[in-house]
Amino acid sequence: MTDQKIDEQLRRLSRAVAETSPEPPELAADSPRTRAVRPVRATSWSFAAALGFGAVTLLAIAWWGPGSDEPEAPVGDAADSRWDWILEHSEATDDETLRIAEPSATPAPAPAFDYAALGTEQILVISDPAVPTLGVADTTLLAPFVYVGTVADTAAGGYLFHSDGGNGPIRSTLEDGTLVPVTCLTISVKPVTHCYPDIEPTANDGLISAVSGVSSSAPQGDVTVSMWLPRETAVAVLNLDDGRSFVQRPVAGVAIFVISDLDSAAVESAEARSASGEVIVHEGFLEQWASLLAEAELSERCQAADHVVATYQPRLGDDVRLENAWMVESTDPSLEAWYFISATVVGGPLDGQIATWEFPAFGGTVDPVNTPHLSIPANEVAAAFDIGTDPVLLDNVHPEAYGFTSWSEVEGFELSQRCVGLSAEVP
Amino acid sequence: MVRLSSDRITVLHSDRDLYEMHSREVTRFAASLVGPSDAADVVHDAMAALIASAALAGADNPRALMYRAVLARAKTVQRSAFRRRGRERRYAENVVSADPEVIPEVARAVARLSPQQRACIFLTYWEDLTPRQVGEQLSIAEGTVKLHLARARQNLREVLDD
Repeated sequence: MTDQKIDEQLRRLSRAVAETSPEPPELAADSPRTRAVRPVRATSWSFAAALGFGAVTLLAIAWWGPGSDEPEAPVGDAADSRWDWILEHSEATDDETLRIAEPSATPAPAPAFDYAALGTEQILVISDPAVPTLGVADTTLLAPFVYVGTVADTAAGGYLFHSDGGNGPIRSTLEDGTLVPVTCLTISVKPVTHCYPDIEPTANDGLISAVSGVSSSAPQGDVTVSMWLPRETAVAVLNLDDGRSFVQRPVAGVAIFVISDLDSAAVESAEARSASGEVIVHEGFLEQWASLLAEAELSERCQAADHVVATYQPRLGDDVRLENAWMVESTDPSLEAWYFISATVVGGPLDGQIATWEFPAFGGTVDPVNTPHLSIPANEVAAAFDIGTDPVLLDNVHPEAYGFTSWSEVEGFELSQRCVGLSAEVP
Repeated sequence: MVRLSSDRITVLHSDRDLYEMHSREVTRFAASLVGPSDAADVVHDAMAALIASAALAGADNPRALMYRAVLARAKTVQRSAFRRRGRERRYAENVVSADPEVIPEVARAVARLSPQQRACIFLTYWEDLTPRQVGEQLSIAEGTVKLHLARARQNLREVLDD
């Protein structure tokens, strides 16, 4: 269809909408109408990705509306999407595809406190926007690409890209099949892609959307941790359980840390701090994983991965933990990592819900010699569920979708479950 | 009421006056975002919140503020996934019944766009605003408007080429 035809259709459609518009409503007297709040709802998000980069794991987790006792938020408080915010504060090229935007005009608020005491600063350097953006001009994504830069003098920069769900290989789907926007951050040196729902992380959500990378024992080297932060974040803080801490001023709502030698440490917590130093959001990782450990049964056939990969950290809230998590191992035999598939959320507003993650991207070959402890190879999971190998099909990965009431009904998954405890125990 | 200040004369309208002046157009706008069945509710709730916040009468551009409030309210409504499917279907049916020349697949594809994308389409194709003017109306960047329009056109291209 030609552009002219499309324009004509949109013009006709707009006219039809205007002509069938209802009469304006009568305003209530002096005070705004107070309406009963709608009941809470839960919707599962599911993000499937396969960009050919290798293992990519995505989360699907229930998302809740306002609590039944809370008033609805004022209209003016409804935030634009994160992506809109980034674009609005960026300089975009003038062509229609808008491939490149430069996010340095979206700085964090200036901290008015001494954040140096909180840890070693890793500066996120914004590169010259004239620098070619890593050859990512993929028109199928219909996305402008925001070049982020480098971190701590390490070539660990990346770029943000956006998909509205209807185009390209990145898909995000609600349970009812509705496609929703998703914003992803690709770390160029891994390469790893981390995706986030296009909603604002806030204190009310309970957690920053933080990301852990692959094991530092992998050939790719250092671990990267990215954070998708509330806009008012002035300083992001990352704490390891060996006493090391790092701080960074985010750009465009993103912080990226590069951590060396994570073999002997684990990411303990992450924080978003406001300009005054107040903790906006605190995200504790080990607390959650400790709960996993308490629930897990060990198996003599099961060996530990040295680091759990949860490339999207769910917003679980305080005093919430995951139980009965099911996992698969990376399709890449060089990565000693396990990926979440699903877990039961215990506590919080999602109590009893099953949070689901997508499988790692398929296509990698599992080496049976180097990975003898696989309970079920990730690249055989698709066959086990007869869901094919097209990553676009990998939405809503929960057992019911494949005719099971529990993953335990699927042969080969028992060991995966038992590995959770070991996997979560970072040496 | 007329308020004199050192550098300008500002005519202050009451909230209700402002609403009467723009109610029809913002209701049309709401219909473009959420369809005719939910448009009145969206407008009402948006206006009620604006009046409660006392932001309207003192705004430099109250008309644009109303548009933004309606868009914000529409986004909130749009997030209700339980009802979204039905709303999208009704939106498409309504449009096609109003103009049979509108290709149903186009109507359905537009119905699936985000409220902000639909807002850009409506203001561009019905109100004949430029991307810059749309951006000013919605308080978003001109580049964002262009992006939304580009995505919408690309969506339609893909839908119609299938």
